[in-house]
Amino acid sequence: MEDRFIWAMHFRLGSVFEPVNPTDTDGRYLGDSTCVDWERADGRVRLMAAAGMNTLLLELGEAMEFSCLPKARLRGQVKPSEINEHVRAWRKLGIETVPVVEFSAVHSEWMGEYSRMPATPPYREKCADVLREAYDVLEKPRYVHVGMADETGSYAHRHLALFRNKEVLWHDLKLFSDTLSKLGARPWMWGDVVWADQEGFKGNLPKEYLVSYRWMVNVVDGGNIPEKEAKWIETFDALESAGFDQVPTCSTSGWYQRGVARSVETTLNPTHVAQYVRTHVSAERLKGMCCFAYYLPDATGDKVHRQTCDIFGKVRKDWQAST
Amino acid sequence: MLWGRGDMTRRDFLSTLGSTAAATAIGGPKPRKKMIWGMYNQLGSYMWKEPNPLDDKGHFCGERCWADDLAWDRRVAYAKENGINLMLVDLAEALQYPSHPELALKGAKGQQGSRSAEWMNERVRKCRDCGIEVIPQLNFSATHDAWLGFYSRMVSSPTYYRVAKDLFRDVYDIFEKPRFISMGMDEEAIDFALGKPLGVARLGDLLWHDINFFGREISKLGARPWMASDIEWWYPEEFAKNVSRDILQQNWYYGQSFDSKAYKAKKDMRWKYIESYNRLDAAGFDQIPGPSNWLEGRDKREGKTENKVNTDLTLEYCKRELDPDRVLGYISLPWCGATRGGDKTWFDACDQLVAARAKHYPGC
Repeated sequence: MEDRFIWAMHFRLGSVFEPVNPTDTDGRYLGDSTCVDWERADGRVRLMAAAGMNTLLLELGEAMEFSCLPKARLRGQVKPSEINEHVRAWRKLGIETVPVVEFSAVHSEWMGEYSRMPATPPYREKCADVLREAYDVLEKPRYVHVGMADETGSYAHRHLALFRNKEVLWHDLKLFSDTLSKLGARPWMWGDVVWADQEGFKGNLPKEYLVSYRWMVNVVDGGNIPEKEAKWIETFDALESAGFDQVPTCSTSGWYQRGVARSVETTLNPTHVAQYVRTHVSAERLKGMCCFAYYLPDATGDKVHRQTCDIFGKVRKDWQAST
Repeated sequence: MLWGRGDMTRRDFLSTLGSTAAATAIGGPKPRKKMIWGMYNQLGSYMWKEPNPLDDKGHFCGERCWADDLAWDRRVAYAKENGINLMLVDLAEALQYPSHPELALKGAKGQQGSRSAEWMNERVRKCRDCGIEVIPQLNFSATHDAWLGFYSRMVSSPTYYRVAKDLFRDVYDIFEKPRFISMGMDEEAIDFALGKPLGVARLGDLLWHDINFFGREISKLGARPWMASDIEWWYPEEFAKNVSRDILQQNWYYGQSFDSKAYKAKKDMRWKYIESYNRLDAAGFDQIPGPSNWLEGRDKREGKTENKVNTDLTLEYCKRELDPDRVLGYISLPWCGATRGGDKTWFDACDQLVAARAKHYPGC
């Protein structure tokens, strides 16, 4: 298992994507309840396995009852043992589950009051507790993904713009990495933060991180990259030259805003990303491919999930055929 | 939106200023309230920069504090001599807050540390004895709150709200029931958050919620809340809709021209800052306009080398444009620390206010 090429998809277990009570003074920003649909989740994992995927990035968020977050309770949260049971079943289908605990300051409302105190001692302690708990629940996974989506100054949240910069960002990311390394898991993260400090990441982001830079729109036309997009896609190259292991990430759903996946036509994006990274990232550091699509865990997400399995599954087949 | 302050309603409060409805109703001469002639004194300095963002005590700016004894004494004497009747003291790290001693700076290498509650209280009393009321300011703008240490990284969390309440109580006691407490709140916007070690800026509902939260907590103590108004520049309609009229508004504009129409024609945003005075007035807010002798970057780029006119122009404009019943007075905002090096700037600002007062409000 150690050396296999990763073919990963990401989905969220819970149903609350955005804060519903941003002004709650007790820290219950996500409301009172969440919903986990195990039957649907199992079905999605089966489709993934049939499409040749071998890794699931499972975003736990508010769906899991973390014992270390006793105040962040919602109705409908599932017990760790329940998650564990499904993870074991998925393993039998050939799917390795990697827990995603999203520590991005703009997406961590699931941590309750701690989501509003990044880069402080209580937050840092709590993040370590969360990482330990996720590691235990998933039975010592090889990787733990710490999220870090959208934590850049350009992401203005509706209620609270919150983002770590430079030394504070690197400091916290190193703490996460150190905690996971001690546990025995490799840290994995989205690569968005590289945009925030395009020089600083080279010397400050620990090389232990497996980095999934996300490039999610169609911009390659007949092999030509429009000038305005070049700097974004070249982040793959910057990570490569800085020596980071990568699992480049594509998408089939474009952007997600306020509960709705914006219907940007991105069916070609996975192919484009695959083509690009194969020629720009060394085989030694290219550890896999991932597809990140925005869709809800309920029935409204079924179609996108199926399409994603079809499209990304074909990318995998083509990739393997040309290897 | 209004709320009571302890057992004092807004109407009671206005009555104490002499602006009685009864006097107006019977058509008699309207009693003129005593106007505020205030000077801002920046006792603390750790609002903006954080050179030590990884400090394990949360003292991101270091260990030294302004708040020089001699500078304080000289300013109070100067203010008294010139008829100033209010001093707005921006505290930040300058005070040892009894409820949160962890915020206090020790003063590294023989430098000044945070001042004790007794030190501050003694000065508040002395000022009062010479006719100057001292008003505390705790700046809770998320981009100017480095003085809050780790709590500046907990904005809008349960802990943060608790700390804010504690600190308001501390200053209410130390300043012996001041008439006002300022919550600051200037320049809280994402542009000011960019580049900081931790960028924080409240937006939308949360911003209005927190402003009113601070206002309510100050009112509960028995003081009137006071805030800088520049958030209004960017969200005028939402501001008017959401911010309690109990909060005294301190708009500020330091430019050397009040020709808002010309600015508007040039799409220069300064028209918004100037006309904020009018919008706040139309929306029914009480105001304490804040002129300054600060030389703005824009004016500097236009060739100006000093600012001797803004205070005069501000008083002229506000006297002409605003309902006098809603102008409680003026607060001059010289941007200099409470150190001896800042004295000249401070005295100049005071002189400008005194001159403008004599010109536009003789006898007030």
